[in-house]
Amino acid sequence: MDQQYIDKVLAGDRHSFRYFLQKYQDMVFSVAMSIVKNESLAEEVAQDAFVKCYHKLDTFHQQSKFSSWLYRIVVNTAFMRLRKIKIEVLDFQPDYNQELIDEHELTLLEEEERSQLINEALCLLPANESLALRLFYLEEESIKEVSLITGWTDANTRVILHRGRKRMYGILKKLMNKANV
Amino acid sequence: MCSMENKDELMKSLMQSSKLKMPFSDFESRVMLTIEQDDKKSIAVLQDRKKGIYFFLAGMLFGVVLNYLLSRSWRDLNINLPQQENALLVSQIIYALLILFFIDRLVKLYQLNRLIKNL
Repeated sequence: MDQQYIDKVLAGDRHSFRYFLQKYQDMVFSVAMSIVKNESLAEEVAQDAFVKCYHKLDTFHQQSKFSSWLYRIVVNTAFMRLRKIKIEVLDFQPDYNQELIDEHELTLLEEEERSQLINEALCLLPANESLALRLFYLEEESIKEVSLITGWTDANTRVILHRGRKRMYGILKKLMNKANV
Repeated sequence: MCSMENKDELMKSLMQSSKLKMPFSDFESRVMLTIEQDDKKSIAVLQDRKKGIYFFLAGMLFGVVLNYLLSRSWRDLNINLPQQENALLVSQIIYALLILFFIDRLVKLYQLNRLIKNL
């Protein structure tokens, strides 16, 4: 389906690009948010990434999924933007025991509450870890695809995912404890 | 191992709740507008480039003809030979400098087009 629209855009039908905007804007925004942790910055990154994607569409040769190619543009744009404005994302220091997360308590939360808690936790994670978690668990990309999107090695991706998971549980536990006090 | 897999399943189900919606409703139209403006800019640069090449070639031809006519008119004015050669040299240097200057402008125009494409 994506290829049909790519062909249309390359043939000069600019409006066919709306298809990609409608299909990917939420995920592109989520990926950008994982890195820049700020709504308006993430929106700017998403916009820049889509414009770049439009101009470079002729360089997409189906060596990977279109979504992976697009996310790679988003990741590069987001990290470039971070470097430009010199934002330093604070590293969360884990002082937790990963095994003590209360799964039951998490499942009892209302969907909206759970979503808010998880997104808050993701905001506290380092950019690379929240990015890896979102791509691997939410977008269900393989390790290979995550490596392709981020430019990390497979081994590095595994390490980042492992750290991200541990840290995520720690932050969730801390946030839940704070909410219960 | 089993616990790790459970944790993975838990993380998977947790992350399903992390999906964010684009909070700006006009996002799509703003991106389309930017793309449209970029396309217009790109077309304008392309036209400028074409015009640039035509005028450059026309200017080169004009310069050659002008230099030839100047050298002939100086010969007719009965100016002595060293002075004639000096005047011709000056006009040829001016011509060469102008060509270099316009080549530089053309290269910059090409680079601008590439820059717009890579934005």
